[in-house]
Amino acid sequence: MARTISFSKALNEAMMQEMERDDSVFILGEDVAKMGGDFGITSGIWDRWPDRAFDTALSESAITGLSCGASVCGLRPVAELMFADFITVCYDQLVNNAAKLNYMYQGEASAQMVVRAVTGGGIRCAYHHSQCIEPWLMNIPGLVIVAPATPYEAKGLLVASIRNNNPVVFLEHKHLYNVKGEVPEELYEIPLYEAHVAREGADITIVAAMSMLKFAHKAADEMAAKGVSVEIINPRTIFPLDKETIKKSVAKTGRLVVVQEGPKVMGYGAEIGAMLGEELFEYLKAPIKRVTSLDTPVPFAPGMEDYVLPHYEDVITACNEVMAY
Amino acid sequence: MSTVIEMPRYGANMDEGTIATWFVEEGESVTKGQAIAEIAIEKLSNELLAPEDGIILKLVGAEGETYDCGTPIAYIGQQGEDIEESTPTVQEKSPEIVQDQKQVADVVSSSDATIVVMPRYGANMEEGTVSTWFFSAGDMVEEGDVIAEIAIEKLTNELMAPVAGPFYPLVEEGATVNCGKTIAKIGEGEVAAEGEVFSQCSPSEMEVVENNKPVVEVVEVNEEVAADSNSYGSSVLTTKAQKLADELGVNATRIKGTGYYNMVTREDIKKAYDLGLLKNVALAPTPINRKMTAMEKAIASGMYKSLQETAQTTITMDMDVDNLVEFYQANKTDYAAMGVKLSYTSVLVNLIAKALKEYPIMRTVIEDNMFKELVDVNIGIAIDVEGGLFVPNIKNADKKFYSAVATELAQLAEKAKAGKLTENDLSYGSFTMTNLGMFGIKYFTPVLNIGESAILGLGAIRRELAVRDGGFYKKNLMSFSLTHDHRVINGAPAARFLNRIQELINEI
Repeated sequence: MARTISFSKALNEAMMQEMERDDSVFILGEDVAKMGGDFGITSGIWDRWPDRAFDTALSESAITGLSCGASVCGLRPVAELMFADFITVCYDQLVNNAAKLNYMYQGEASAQMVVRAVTGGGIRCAYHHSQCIEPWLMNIPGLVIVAPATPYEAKGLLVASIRNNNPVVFLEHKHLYNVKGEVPEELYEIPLYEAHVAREGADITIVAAMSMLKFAHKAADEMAAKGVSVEIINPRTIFPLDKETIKKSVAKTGRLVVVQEGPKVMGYGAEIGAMLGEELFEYLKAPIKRVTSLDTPVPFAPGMEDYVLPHYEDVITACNEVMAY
Repeated sequence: MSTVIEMPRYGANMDEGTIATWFVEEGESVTKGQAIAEIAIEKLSNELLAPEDGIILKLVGAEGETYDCGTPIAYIGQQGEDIEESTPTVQEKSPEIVQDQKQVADVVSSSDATIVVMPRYGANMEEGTVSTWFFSAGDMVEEGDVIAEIAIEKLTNELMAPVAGPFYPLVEEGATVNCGKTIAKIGEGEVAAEGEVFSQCSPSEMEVVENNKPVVEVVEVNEEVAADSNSYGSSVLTTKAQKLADELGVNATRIKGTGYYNMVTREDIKKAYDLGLLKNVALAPTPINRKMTAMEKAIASGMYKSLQETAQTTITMDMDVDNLVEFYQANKTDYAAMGVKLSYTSVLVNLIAKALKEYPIMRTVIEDNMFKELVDVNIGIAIDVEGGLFVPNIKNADKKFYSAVATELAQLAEKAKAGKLTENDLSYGSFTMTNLGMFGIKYFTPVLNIGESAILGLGAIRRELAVRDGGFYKKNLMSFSLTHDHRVINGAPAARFLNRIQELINEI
């Protein structure tokens, strides 16, 4: 039965229900146990399973290293990085250990771990707490990058991530934590590696992940009023990308606008654009457009942060441009 | 059990072959792929390869003898094996092979259905791909109908139905099949699984390989289907495929697409086009209409009238213009210093004016059944302008010096380009000169200006070798093309006029 709950609550429920189902699942991270997490996502877990929830030292490297080791021993750790930005200090554990294990040991040892990483800007958290980190991880085969955009996806994708035998970096956009939506009470899985057609349309394909999905929906409504029908693709898994769903959509519309919160250089928009140029060139009716933040760090000053992050108006401009081409 | 080696069939038109040489003897061991005989077919010869490792048990075909395809000529096997021998016999030529430019399907007739096998188009062909079936299961085919397109590496061939009857494909489009393997049947009867007719295909090699490459399926020509775009969805062609179709001038909506949503891709069009399937559906190009200007209308009606109402003929002559070139080169600077732009045309106007004065026939026209001599030597000069052509004339050119003609010519050209010519400038001409020499044209057939009987076309001045007094000389030559109205001027007077111009050039 579905109720309306928040994105945060959906994540919490996913972990609780999975821990109930599977004894090998446990959580760890900075203040995730007694305090229930900096954003409260893990609240209540320690109360129920005090021996399966661990507060760690202030060392993201130790958190991922421990997770990697525990997963090799057959456990399914769900680690929290309070801010995804600090994944930089976990890089060796993630890139050179976790991402390789499944391949090096032919699946006999695998880093069946989830690293929940709190990502994204827009809440005045300044340079070190506002970045979109998915591009940093997108060319590391072996890692899976999951990016939910709704409470329903938050629960279903986290469940699928916990059950997946690959190391999953599970991106949680801070801006979405309080977003509410319908979420089934029972346990369910949303398959990884499958993009979702969030809205069907015929003229323009907008690809948007996480917090950018709301821009896409708003733009689709505005363009519909002008008689332009927009199809929205939410990748859900950012890497490996579900190319086929995107290709099918763009083959139909011939026009693509990618909305991405991070800087323009080398984001998922770059990858999707290059992929379509390579594999779907003959269907394109207009140049591919990307709406992104500026290629600068995310500033602290609110006015400057708003200036740097992608603007909704730019999505409409991009849509108009691809239609006018 | 031993393996029989038959006289191979290297092509559908091959009925028999001759054993030119045996390379092996009975009892010799051979390895698979080893050449065991040379087989001669008319002008060609091919090597026959051993189909497997073994020992040549018996050579039943004799060198120099000719056998029908399929006749056993040797046996191969292991030491001590029995031979299932059948005597080579001379058979009637197989009647089902129809001689035609197109390949007729090799067939094996069973009791109820005729089997169509993957043909072998050349000795090196081991397998072929059914890239297109042109009929669906159950369709009636006539003997000779093209039933399939068979692709072999870079080539494609059409396969024709050997008999008439209901057609049933037995492999998928895109399937790559070894030569001799059954690919279809014509007829309702059951077909035995083994349809091989060629000995060179070993059974182990006969598995059907799925080929994932896109293939073109051409929908039978059906204008109603083509008109109904709903048959293929809203977008029939991809963006770039549409562009290609436009470039090729073909209507590609009748191809069934292999792209997303069955859209027609560039590859589909290229393939269909290469097969000639799109050649006859070219769309009529839409002409681009533009209104004629007044000048264009005048030129069009003038040219037409001129050719309709006179008896124009053109003679040409290469003249030695060394003198003209020398005069021009020697004087242009002096004239320029006086503000006069001397040109070859202006110099020639002076010379031709003199000739015209001497040859009134060149200034004579017919009017109301009367010959009318135009007294004044008014030489028109054709001037090319944006959007047309003007022919103003230099009045009384015979009475003017080089500088006067050159100056007047320059002024007329200026006025023509500015659109400021007067009625007087354009009227009362008695002869016209027109120059295409600057474009490298040598000879042409100028069209008479209305109301005149001659027009002289000036060609390019060129340096050529000439023979004089037994030696080679370089010489400047210029071609003159004189169109004259034969009603007034016969060939000889026109030629004399041209000769006179040559004399005048010599006398400069």
